Amino acid sequence: MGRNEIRLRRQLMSSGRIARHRNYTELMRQHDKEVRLKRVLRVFTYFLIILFLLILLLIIIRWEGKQSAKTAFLKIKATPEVITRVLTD
Amino acid sequence: MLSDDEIRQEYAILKQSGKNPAAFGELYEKYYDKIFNFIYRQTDDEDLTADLCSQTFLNALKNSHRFEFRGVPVSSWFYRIAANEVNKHYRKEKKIRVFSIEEVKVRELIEQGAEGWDEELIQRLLNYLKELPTDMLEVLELRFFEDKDFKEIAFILNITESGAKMRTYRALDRLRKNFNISIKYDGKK
Repeated sequence: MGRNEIRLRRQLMSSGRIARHRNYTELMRQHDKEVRLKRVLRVFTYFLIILFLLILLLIIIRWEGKQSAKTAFLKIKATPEVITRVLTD
Repeated sequence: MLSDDEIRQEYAILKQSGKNPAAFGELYEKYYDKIFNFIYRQTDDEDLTADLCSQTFLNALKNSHRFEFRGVPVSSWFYRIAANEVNKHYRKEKKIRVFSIEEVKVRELIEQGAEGWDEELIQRLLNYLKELPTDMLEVLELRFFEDKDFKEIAFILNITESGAKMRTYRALDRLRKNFNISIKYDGKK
């Protein structure tokens, strides 16, 4: 067995026979389908990016809320009254 | 051979088809047969050729905005996509590559040498071609069956022009040595 298979054709492919496979309308249909699919994919990708950013924003807001509550609690604990009460006790 | 103006006209049509895909029809009708024959010679399967051929034109239409003018006809770009599609097919299927060559073309190509043209010579020639590397067969096909010049061959196979010349002449020298035949069009009879 060689590297390639070589076949000898007695006849040339006729243009009539090739014409049976030529279908520009079908090509256009496939192209339109691909363009539509590409558009849907693009919209979906943008949607995912926006969703991700929104979730990130939500996480940051919640984290900030928790952080401010923590510092407010620490501030109450450190007032002079609290400190004197602690010292007199 | 197309003139520079004709090449630019085709290039303009291709650019236009990015915005208006219907404009692509002119190029499709003009080159469908050539690309079909080119693929058929490398598959010997009519239905597979039709599939690869429509995939070639679909890819060309999809990427029409990417084509850059390099002084070669738009058809060379179609040949390049077609060659890639054929390579992709053989890589995927892991099959031995088929080259189906027309006897008439071979007869046109090879002038009768001292040995004469007979069945035995044809068989020996086929056996010899079997052993040639695929890249050499590709160059020979484009040069002698598709009548492409070296600049186009280089573009289609994504190699340098000198590389295309070297491959062709190396293959032809081997043919001459082995078969005592003279080959048309190569300027080295």
